[in-house]
Amino acid sequence: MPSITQHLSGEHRACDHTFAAAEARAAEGDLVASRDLFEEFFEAMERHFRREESVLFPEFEARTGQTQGPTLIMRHEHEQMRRVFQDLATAFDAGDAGQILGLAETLLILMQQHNTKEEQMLYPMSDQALADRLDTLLEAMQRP
Amino acid sequence: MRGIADLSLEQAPPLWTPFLFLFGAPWFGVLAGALLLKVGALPVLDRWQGAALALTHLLTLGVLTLSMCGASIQLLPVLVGVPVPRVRWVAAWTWPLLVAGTLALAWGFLEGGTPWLVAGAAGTLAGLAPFLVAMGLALARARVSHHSLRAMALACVSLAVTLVLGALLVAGLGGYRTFDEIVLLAGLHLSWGLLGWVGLLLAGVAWQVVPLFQMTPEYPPLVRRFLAPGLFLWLVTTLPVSWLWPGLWPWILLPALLGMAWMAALTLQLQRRRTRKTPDLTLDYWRLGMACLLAALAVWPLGALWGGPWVWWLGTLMLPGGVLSLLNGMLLKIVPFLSWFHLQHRQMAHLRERGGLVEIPHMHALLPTTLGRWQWRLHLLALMSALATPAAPGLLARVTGGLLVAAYGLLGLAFIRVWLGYRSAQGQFG
Ligand SMILES: [Fe+2]
Ligand SMILES: [Fe+2]
Repeated sequence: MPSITQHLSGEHRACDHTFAAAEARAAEGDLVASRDLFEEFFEAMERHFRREESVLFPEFEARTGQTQGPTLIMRHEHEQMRRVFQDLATAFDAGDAGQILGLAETLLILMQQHNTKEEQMLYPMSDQALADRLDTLLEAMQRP
Repeated sequence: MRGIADLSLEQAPPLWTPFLFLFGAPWFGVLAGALLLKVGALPVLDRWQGAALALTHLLTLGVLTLSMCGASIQLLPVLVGVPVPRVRWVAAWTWPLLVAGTLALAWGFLEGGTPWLVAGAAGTLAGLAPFLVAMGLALARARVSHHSLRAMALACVSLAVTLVLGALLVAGLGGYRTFDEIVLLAGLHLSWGLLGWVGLLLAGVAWQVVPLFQMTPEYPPLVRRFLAPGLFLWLVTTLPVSWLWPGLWPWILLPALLGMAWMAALTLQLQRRRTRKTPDLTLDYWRLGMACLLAALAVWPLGALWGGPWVWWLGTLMLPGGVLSLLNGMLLKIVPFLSWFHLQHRQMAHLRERGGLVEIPHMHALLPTTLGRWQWRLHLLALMSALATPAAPGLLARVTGGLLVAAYGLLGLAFIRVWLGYRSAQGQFG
């Protein structure tokens, strides 16, 4: 039985892999390859954020009546990550490897803290609250 | 819009609460090194020497427990979704009492004698009791129930048991118990402290932190489910059993130690399969720590049989080699990340309210990786020197002391550098 937790955690892992490859290229000094991989990572993350922000969160808020709760915090954390994505793009423009690696490690911790909260709290809560609509939701979240 | 930002940080404790604890910890390492510089070979030759006990408590209470309190305050909201209640009060109460209690205890062991020991034990107990209550309340309210949570709760219970056993020991040193009983009580106190409080907390944290930040596969579900409760139950059994049949001591600890060794070996194996390949100081610290814990287990029976230098090697591999390595690795990440996290909060509020992006330093700009690497080298040298000490105790104990002062001094200074960077970045927001 597929679940929101399973599906969206899977997307986290896929993003992790791209991030790890991008960061490793930067550590080796190959900023060109690193940038390509980071662009791929930003895109995948944005797609994932959109699924949460325009499919999962509104459904969760409507069902639980909580608009000021966990989803609000998660949306804010997305903004924090988007801020670092932009900082990273700027660092790539400047070709500053030290800056890139420092920002990458900072982003890693920020991102993993966020993912943990979702995987251990928000997603399981959603699986429970939205149990009768899982099929529709999962389908909506498969769309590109 | 303000509400959003406030709510997000509402979960995170005010920066000074974890920092009070984390910034204090390295200076106890400096004190421990200074003590070794002054007394030389004494603690190496006999673990019952006052200087040896002072040294151990400066490291376990001063460096370890102080920073584990700070790290728990910080990690709890992330790992279980609930902040430590009344965290400002708890921090303002626990920190001074724990610091003063540890110093008094160390002085009591060195020269001060019973009144200082009693004062030290009372201060430590009084300081940590509200902390444990607050942790217990937070864990009881947790929004998730997973195995890490249970491991942390059991770790807190173990700390309480360790403290009570310590208090009993202080009463014994006051002169109303036999020496054999004191030896056994001390063994129990040590096992509950190292295997219970430290071991269970580290296990609970490792299950979350290692797969997450080092991108390794998850720990097997069976390990996560049974290791912590199993270890804890075994420690509970040792209390009455070793009291009734003292002859079983210390061999009764073997299953618990094997459990820890299994955990260490598993961690090393998972780390070999990590996705994130970028060189990372914390990873190096964790591998060193786990390797030392495994080596400690190999040395343990020899220490129990023969005593002498084996006990020193065992202690060195367990404490500075194993546990303090893991701790150093975590502190070097937590301190700069938290500073950055709070700065970014300001940065985004500033951007929303006044427009205009203010640049803030990232983690490596706050704590340069080269500084971390030097800290690692000094830590390694101190460890090697400590392991070599039984060959020439008079000289090498002092060398080890000097290296400890340098390694922990550098860690303390690195944190001060982070703080200064944080302050000057804060200044930009006016
Ligand atoms: Fe998210
Ligand atoms: Fe997510």
